[in-house]
Amino acid sequence: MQYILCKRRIVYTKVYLFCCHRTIFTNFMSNTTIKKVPTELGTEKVGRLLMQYAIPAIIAQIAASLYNMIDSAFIGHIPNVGADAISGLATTFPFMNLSVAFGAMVGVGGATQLSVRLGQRDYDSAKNILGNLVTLNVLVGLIFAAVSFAFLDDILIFFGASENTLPYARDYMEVILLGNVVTHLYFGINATLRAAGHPQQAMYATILTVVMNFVLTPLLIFVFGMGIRGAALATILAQCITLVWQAKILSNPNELLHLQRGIYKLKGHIVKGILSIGMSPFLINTAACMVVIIINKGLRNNSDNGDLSIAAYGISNRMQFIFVMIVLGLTQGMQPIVGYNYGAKHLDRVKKALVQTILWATLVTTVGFAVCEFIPGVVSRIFTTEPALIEKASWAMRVMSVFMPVIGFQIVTTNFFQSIGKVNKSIFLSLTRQVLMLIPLLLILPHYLDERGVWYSMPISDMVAAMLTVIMLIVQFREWKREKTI
Amino acid sequence: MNNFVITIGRQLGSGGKEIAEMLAKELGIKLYDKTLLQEASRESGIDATVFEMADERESSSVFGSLFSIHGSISEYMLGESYLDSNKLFEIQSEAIRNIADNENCIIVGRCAEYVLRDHPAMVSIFITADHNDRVNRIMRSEGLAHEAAAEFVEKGDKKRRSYHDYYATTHWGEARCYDVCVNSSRLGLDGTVAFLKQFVKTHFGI
Repeated sequence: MQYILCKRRIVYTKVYLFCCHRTIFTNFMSNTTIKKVPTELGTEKVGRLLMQYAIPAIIAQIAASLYNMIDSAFIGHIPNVGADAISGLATTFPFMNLSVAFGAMVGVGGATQLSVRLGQRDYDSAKNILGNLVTLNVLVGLIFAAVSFAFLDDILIFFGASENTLPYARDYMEVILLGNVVTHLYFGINATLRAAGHPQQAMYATILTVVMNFVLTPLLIFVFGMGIRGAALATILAQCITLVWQAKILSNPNELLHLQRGIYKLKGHIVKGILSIGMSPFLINTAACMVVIIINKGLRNNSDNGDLSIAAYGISNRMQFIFVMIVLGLTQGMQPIVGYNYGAKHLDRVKKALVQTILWATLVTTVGFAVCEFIPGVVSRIFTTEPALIEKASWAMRVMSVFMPVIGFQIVTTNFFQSIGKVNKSIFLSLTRQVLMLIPLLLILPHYLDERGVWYSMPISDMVAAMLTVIMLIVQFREWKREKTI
Repeated sequence: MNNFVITIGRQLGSGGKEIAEMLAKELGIKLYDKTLLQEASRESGIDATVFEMADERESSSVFGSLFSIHGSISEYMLGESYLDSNKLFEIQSEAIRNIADNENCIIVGRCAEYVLRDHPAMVSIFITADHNDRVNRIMRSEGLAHEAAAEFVEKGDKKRRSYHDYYATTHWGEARCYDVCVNSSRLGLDGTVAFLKQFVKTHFGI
């Protein structure tokens, strides 16, 4: 009897999980069977499905990219703060990437394991994974902070800081590192909430953090006059508050999975499982960090005003980032539609979903292109008031965005290959744009073009990656055609 | 009494599949091995070939399913994918539970002994065999030379172990994780079937 009772409960949890992307709009919690959503994926109009699944994901992505911009935007408007502070802040971005890399290793690894166990109703194993995830987050967070603190100046200089920008970067990072454990826990628990059937709460947590940060940052900077440290403190405080709320949700003893005594002791096989799954997100984020370091170094070594160039890169990169994030949101909406229909062999629907997503994504990146090409000065002013930096950032934005319209297509198609289970192709394409093409270009071009070489590398690798993607997509379509005729 | 279910794990080339077939025949119950995939496909509407791609193989798309987070600096948005092997395993497990709830049957592989660990009437069996017997059996069934067959056996073990231990919390082929572990080289296929039949009959009182 217990067996059956238990089963009912999980069916309900599962419906909830399946609807993770639409919970903002439809609060459907009825005890319908798990099969309902997939059927809809196979019959409902593709365009409607895409809207339904993509919009919440896009909102989440916009929230995440805003979150990344808040600090730089407010710091750029502190009176008398110049390009040096903004440049210093830009050298902390790869640092943050690295911290996220360690956080993701534990968080994603743990959440993936957790969802496998929950799918098997194995609550005993699941609760131990939760406990181990918390302990690992604390441990990794502490060790990362301690090591970073010990070598803070060296690391920042390695990441592109100069004598002039180092003090600002140090001010900011010291506060961020003190709160590093909180940051890791916040992200780790949010991933857990999502895996444990609370995608809605996870989404609210994200939004809460963004809003809190948006309120606290100007308050601490301008009202309390805390300067660049205030921005960092606001980030940490916002995460602290959200963490308390998350902990409250997860402490409810009525939850199937909750924080309780005796689950925190590390177990070898769980730790091993978490780390082996977490290795790939770790490597991805580390690669992202490496690329930024190489760009910063290239700018420092080849420019007569390295600090200004690095600051300009920080600004234009953040601008592009918003549009990339919106496209990523779109692809997250596409994934279940393509995945299900590919599985059900509705190839016409698969193609339709792909084409529609590509069109939307191209629209988004074309808007981004227009913004960066035609009003770069306006958007640069979001991040700084310094005329020299506005001019430099505007120029940088124009160069970086030359081929931006094709990025939408490239990202969507890369994720498309992943959705249909062709993981290796997806990884290859993703690496092309951001690593395989970009790094050699970054290392070679500056020899011939000086600083411009660094800037040109970025659009060139975008274009080459897009062309490669077209070829791989055509090959895939031909393959399907052949299969059909057989 | 409830319906009962027998799960059989096996080393590659141990004769486990033949033993399962013979035992099913002797007991007059249905056997599910690869046919499980059809069952899962029918229930979910996902094509059986997709399940085959992920069948008893280490979850390769774990790496891929995480790729949707690349570029997302501050959020881990795990994109949902129905071709994610974790999801496929979940659907397949659901199919296994449905079958085990409704009829007396034998289920071969697919971590069934873990998936059904709460089933009120289950016997879990693991079948091994001497290395030479396994290699010989594979040489015959796959038409391979001795060396190739030995390698095939080794790879098969590795694949099954990593599949099993990824999805289950128990350990593949470890005696304490099963009710009966038996080496089919000792009694031969027929003898092993007779032995297992006796065990099952005594246990379930049939």
